[in-house]
Amino acid sequence: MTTKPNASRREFLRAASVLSMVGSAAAPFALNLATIGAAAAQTAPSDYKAIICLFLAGGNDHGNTVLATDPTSWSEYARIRTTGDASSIALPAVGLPGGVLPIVPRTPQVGRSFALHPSMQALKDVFDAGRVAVIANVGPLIMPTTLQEYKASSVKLPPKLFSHNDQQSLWQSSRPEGAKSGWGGRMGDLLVAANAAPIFTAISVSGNAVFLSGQHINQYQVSNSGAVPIAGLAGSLFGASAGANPLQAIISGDRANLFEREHAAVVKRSIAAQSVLSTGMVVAGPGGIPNPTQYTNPNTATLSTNSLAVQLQTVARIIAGRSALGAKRQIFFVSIGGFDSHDNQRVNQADLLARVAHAMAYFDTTMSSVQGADLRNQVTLFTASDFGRTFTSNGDGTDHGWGSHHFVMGGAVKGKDIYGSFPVTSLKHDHDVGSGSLLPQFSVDQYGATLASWFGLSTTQIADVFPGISNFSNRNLGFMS
Amino acid sequence: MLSSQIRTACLVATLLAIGACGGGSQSKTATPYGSVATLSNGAPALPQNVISPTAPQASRFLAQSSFGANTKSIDEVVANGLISWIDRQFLKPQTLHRDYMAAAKASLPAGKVLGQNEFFESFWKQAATGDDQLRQRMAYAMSQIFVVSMQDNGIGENPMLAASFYDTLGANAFGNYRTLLEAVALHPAMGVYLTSLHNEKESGVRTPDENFAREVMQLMSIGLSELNQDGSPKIVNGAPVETYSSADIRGMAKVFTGWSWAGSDKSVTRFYGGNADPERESNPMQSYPQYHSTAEKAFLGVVIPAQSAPDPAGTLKVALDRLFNHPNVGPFIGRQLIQRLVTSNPSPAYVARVAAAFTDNGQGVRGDMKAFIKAILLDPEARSDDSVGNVTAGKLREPILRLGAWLRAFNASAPSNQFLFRSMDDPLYSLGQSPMRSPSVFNFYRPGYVPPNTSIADANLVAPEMQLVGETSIVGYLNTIRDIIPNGIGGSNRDVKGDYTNELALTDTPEKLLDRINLLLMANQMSATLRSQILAAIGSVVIPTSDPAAVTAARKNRVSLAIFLTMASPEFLVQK
Repeated sequence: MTTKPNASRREFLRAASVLSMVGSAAAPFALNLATIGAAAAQTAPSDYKAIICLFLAGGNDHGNTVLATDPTSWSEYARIRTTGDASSIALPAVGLPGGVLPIVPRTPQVGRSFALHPSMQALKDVFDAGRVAVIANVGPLIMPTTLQEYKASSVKLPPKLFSHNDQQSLWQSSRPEGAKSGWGGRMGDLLVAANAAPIFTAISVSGNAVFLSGQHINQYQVSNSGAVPIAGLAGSLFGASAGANPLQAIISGDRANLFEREHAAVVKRSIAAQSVLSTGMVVAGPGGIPNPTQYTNPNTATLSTNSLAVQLQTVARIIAGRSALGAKRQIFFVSIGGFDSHDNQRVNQADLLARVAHAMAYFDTTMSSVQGADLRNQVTLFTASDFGRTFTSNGDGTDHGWGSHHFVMGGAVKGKDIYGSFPVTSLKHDHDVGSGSLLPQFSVDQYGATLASWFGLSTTQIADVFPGISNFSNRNLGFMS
Repeated sequence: MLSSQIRTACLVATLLAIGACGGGSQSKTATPYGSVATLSNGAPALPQNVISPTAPQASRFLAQSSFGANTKSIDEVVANGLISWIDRQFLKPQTLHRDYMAAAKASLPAGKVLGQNEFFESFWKQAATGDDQLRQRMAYAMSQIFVVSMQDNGIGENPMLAASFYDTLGANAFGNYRTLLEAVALHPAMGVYLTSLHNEKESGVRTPDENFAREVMQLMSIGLSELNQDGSPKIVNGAPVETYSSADIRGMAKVFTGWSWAGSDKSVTRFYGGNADPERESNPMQSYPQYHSTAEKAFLGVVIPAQSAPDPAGTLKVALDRLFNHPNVGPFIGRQLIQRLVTSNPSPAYVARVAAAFTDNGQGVRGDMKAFIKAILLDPEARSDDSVGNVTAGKLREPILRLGAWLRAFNASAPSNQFLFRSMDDPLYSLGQSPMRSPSVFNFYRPGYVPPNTSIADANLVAPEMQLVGETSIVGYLNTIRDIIPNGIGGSNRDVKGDYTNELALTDTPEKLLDRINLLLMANQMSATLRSQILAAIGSVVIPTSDPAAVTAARKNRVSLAIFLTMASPEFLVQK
């Protein structure tokens, strides 16, 4: 079906309820009723909540991000990742200059101790304060899968493993490249009724991300400059008076050709949103959302602007405008690229993780006082990435893997903990699919479903958003309170 | 020679060519793309508009085969026909970007190094004014399949690598794909970008870098899934068949070990980047046998036995021959080139015809790029006028090609002769796209991109360039061209300006003014509605009878209105 992007709220609600019935047509009648009932109960939550996806594009090397530091683990780590190259990727041990930063999770794992990458002191502080959790070894899975099943291909496996574009898409949408909706957008489909302006439900500060596309709602792309108007749209244009200016009609009028039609649809959305956002969004800097400090590049000790922190500032400016925008439930997307560390990983990843830690800590602080309100309990940020990487080294880098460790941050996160069994630090263990690439213990669906539950989705709605969750008995990993 | 004589000569040559292709009687066959003549052997005949195109047909063809039509190129195509124009383009000499860069470097003040701006200058100067338009459009299309990006510091801080790589694509545009593949694989820019440069053989706990091995298969030759010749995936037991496994990647990774910077020796220092040769950004990587894996290398059904002495060149030949001869290459690369030049959603039959030309150029040669290009541009689906009205027709023009269309149509020139273009990355305050600055090896957009929640998705179609379209970038485009059209582009001095002499002369007759712009920018495809909207706007700008300055200003406003409203329209933005 085709959706009019500028449908009024009433039309949208009607369409949404039709959609939910169509979407579960194959389900028993009672389930349909439950879906509708749950949706009705969702129509007006009184509180505000937001989820932010921070995407580490390129596939972050989890092996140097969260590390096991007990003697057994560390000696294997050092053996495997020390190649004798000048730019060998093995990090210095705890206590050495530039060494990894120890963390102590609330829940011990027998015989293990842990640390974060040396660049992540700012994030470690938030971890220690109890607002960051580590989810160990998560990645796309169709169903729970053992190494034997993987090797025998006796269970269904995610398509196109190890491929950047496809695994980015799988993380965001459960489908490879060409996916038509993502789980952020599908959550938005079910919660959009809470928002006065549907267009501000799923917002990307970092270009086009399938994560935010619903089966019904569209993502809205915003830049750090906020909503800039199309010049010459109203008023005179090159000497043609306002009354004779056909620009808006030309750029947004209905078209038969599908490409022309959809381009005009984006234009129409842009014009509609701009006028609202330009007044609703809170300013950057004094009187509004404080500007992020500069971050220190750990390789050069120089200060520079952290564009990821600026993206999160833009998120905060929109969150701060939630009342003016009539928003109760929002999903955001920010990203930082460069994680595909085949080469020069030691230098590159140190810089990137420093930015991630700095940006996340800035956002944590910013959420603690949004125009005076502490929103940390209402705003949760999680990380995602194409894939983890090989545990083996190619001398100065690592290659494409599968499962990875991720961070969840917010006041509602049961933090200072590591969820899931931390994988054995070695090769040829029970989760090694080759070169130390990890067979995930948790699926992205389980990770997302836990967040969706906190966001207020019912069990049935979660099953709509994550069709694959039915293959997993554990549908809440427990990291959200 | 008079144009009429040229035309007669070419007609004869074209007719002979048809005869050589099998000849026979023609008949008309209805296809989804309109009525297409077929030869008695079933192959589609050349449509009449290939032999003797009208000006609008020539303009449409030039939107597919150049950086944009202008009066001169339309006249050339009308006079010669498409085949002769293409053949003449094949013979045009190449102008090297690296020569421009070298000259710029020589005139830099002491202590200054070459920047990316010098590449942008050279790129746009050639796009706007170069005579070898087909080579340039092909090189640009190929730069979106064989991607190297200055967003990577290793390339961005050494832009001569980008220039030389772009030259290599242009140099091989009319050659053979096998030669192109090797030139790409051994280009130091690719070595830096996909980290195959100074990639070492396995040793102890170290494994070879898999980066280039993976992407050369996924993106530059065979793709992820086994394909039928019409580009559709082969389905076995209900699922696509993957072309390679992780084990194939590991085998292929060993192939690309032991290659690094070219130079006068093969020292360890040079391997690791020291002792830089002045020509190393342009010369192919050379082998360093001591770093080449001698282990058995198994990939894609081929096994290279363990080598007693390392043989990097021999290994490379086996691997590239294997990729080159994979049946996927024709449909995989062919479909993407069709998407870059002609349409986002070619029919399976169109892809199959193009793939067949890749398999055999008619003389038993595989991989002939000239035959490939002709098959893409002369196909009935590219040429049929009937397909223009199809609601699924066309492709969204990307920002670089929109700008190219303006530069060409209005013969933009730069007093500095430098074309002082700069980065246009910013999607809100610029165009959101700069040449050779893709965000990753996956290009600015993906060939399989489906804009979610649209009629395009509902129709199970793709719209690759729509990946760049968002609420932000549409503002950036409109505001940028609204500024560029009257004022020019290129630094604070607006170095590059359109020449509107011909348009200003038509400002007393708005219909003729718009006719001209419609032909140049839209191949006469403007709808009656759009035409009347723009004419009404132009007509509302009154040209005074006295005050020469006010007269000039009004005429300029009429021209700006006509061009801006045309280029703002979805009808222009979708190349059909």
